[in-house]
Amino acid sequence: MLIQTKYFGELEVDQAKIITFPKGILGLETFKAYAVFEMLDNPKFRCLQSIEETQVAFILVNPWDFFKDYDIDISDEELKTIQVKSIEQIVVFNIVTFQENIMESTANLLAPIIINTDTKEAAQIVLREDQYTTKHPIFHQKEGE
Amino acid sequence: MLVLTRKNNESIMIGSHIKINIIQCEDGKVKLGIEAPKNIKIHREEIFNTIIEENKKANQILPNTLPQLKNL
Repeated sequence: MLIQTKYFGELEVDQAKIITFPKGILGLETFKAYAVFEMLDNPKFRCLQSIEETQVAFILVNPWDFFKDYDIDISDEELKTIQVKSIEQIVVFNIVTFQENIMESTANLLAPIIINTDTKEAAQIVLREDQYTTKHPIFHQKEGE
Repeated sequence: MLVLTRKNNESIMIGSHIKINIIQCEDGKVKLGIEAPKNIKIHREEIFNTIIEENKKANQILPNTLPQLKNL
């Protein structure tokens, strides 16, 4: 199906790959259906585009591309909401907040997006506040800069 | 909402697996100790607002930002 995206014009999306958030994303709970697609210019970034509202779209990163020690603890309750039966079914992404100076952009490690790759259901979960925050810089400055 | 009054060192049970201990209460602040199974997540309520705010900020990307990603 053809969808209108916020940042990339019109794109063709495979209906079978549509991701459903049973509870939506925090603060935007009305919207449940999203498409995920890679950004060809830089494969480390993906776009999570709402199918129901063109203006709702996020850029995601795989946390382990930027934070090797990211340690997430997902509760059984959270796994049940997206029908996960085994850890292998899950992929994890974090939402990026871009700043005007792109090098100051951050990832929300406190509230990752987890996707069940078999059922295509997803949720935004909340980790421990004492471990992570909503703003972790993703681009490290070189020494001396 | 069930409203209970407790003194320092008293507790509340929620179900049979969650216990809230009043450790100290003074100056309008309450220190609570919470015992719960590992699969129950415990958060200060404000954290959800912090996340909602961050999600909304993340949804606003300036037009000249994404083209810069190909160089990174």
